[in-house]
Amino acid sequence: MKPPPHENPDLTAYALGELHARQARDIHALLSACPVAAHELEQVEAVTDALRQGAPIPQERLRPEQGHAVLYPANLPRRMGPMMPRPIRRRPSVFWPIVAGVLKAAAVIALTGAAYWAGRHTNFGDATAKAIATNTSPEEIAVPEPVTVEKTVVVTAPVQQPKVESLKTETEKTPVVVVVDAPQPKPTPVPAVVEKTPLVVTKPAPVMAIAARPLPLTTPGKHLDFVNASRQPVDQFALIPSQIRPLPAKVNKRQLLAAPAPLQRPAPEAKETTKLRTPDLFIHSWKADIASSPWNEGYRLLRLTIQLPADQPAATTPAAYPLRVAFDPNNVREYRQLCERHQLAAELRHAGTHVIWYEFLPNGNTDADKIVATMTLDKGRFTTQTVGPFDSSKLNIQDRGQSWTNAREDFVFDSAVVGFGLLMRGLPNTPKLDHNLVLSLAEKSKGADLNGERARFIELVNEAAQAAGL
Amino acid sequence: MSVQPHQDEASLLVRRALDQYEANLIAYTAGILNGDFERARDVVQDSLLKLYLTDPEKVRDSLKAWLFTVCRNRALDILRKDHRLDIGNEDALAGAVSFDPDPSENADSHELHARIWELVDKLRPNQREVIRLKFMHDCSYQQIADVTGLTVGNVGFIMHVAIKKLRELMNRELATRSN
Repeated sequence: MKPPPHENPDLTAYALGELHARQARDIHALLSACPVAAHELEQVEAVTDALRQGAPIPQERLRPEQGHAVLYPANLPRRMGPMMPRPIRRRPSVFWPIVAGVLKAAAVIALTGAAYWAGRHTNFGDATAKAIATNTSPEEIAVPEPVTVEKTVVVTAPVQQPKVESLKTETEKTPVVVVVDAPQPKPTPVPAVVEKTPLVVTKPAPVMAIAARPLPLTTPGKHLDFVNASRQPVDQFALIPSQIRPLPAKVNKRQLLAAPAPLQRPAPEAKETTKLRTPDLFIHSWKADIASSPWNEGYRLLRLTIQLPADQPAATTPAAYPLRVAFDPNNVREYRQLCERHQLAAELRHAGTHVIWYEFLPNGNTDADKIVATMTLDKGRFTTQTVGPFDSSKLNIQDRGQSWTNAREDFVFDSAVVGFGLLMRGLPNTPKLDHNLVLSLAEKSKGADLNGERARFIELVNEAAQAAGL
Repeated sequence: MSVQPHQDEASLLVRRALDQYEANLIAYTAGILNGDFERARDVVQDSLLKLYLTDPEKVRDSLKAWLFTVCRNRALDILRKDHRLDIGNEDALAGAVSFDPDPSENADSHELHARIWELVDKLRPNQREVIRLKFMHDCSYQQIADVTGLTVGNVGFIMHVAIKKLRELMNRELATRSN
């Protein structure tokens, strides 16, 4: 018994497109035959249309830190792969090693026999026989060496040839066919090569240590001269997170051939409907250090350090994120950007570092704490939630009047590297900057130098000073 | 050991889930949790982390239903812990039948479309759920059945009854307005 039209759930399913073809044909037939069913369908469609048109569009999203935690779950336990049966250990076979040994011995015997047979049926054997025939003394026959086939030539030489001096007594008047060594090249170039080799020798340990980690890339600053902070207080540059991604691992060809074939992964679904958007930039931390300039009296050095995770979506795109440093004209008279450095992340899960160096001239004395600049990063988010009522998109840079002699060791060494770069570029307005100052800064802050990087820099500065004739 | 490819695939699956269903999952879970979006976000985050730990082979083909199911189960667990799980909601249904709209409300048909979603809140929880899954989150009967644990036939019946009830409520609304 079929239910009346107003009690038939298939009508609702038909209105929602949930019926199979056969069920839909039945409903078609019902609708054409029963006007009550058609009216019922209209009523259902009125409600479903209203539901569709008035359906609220979900807007709520995860908080940024939640989204990041989901996409980069660092603290989750590693999921193990499916259990695989352990390979069965076989007993070492006795038979096959014996067979292999016998086969090897047979191969050696066969090759030796073949070589002997080939030697007896070549001209080389005839020449040796001739030599034997013309030389009665067995000791003299042994002079030429028939084994060195590649190095020998057959010559018809008079007895005055120096190589056959030992044969002179008996073969003085008649030409004789002998086998002699080809003249050797003069060995004079060899000592020269040997003498040069000590110059090539370098200290291997520090070089290997440095090569193991990626070296920072330094980009010179865009300003040669100082910029008036009143006229142009804001300095903007692009932060490109793809620059701090680690270098791809070098794969040994042998390892590559020995490795199993890569798994065929399904191609990611193309998102035709979604519009491509620049991903948000996540940073671990940012900080500013200020100290007096060692080469410019009265000026200050400002170092901005930003740590970025290398495994974020922004680092996989070539997107650049504007980073603004707004100097306060009340506290800063002029400034210039010295350089930028990108320290690549050692691994994908680690962080890379972006460092920007400025030199600025403060207004008035530097004894009191002053906010000299504000750093702003648009579309930047912290990987950890900020605590307290702080505006996380801005960093106020405060100058506490610190001298470089009291600055941290890494700050002083980095300033030596920056100073060396300025020296190489010949940047103006650096009155006290020379090789000696760079060396003294670097040696003062060399510290433990675990990877030998700082020692190598000092060596480099010394070489540069020698090359400059200092 | 082939752990890394699995994890990469799981990461892709999580990213796909986040791109396609994030807002829908939060809205659906918040609906179960009586509009508590903060808890809904936590539930969705947990569900996505669970997705990361699950074998991609098992969820790839039914990702949407799997996500809605996990969110639903977790939300219901929270309600059970809070002793707020209301299975019948008979009072709400009775209130819905005797619903008396605000006399100052002079809604036109466009407003009625928005009004109908307020009436959805007056339905039984199971009816409300299938209506939301169908019209807010665009789930098929089969997916609704997977999420709720019902049969497809049951889903169709509940949907039919829910729409019939909404018709009745809308007719009352229109009748009240015409008076």
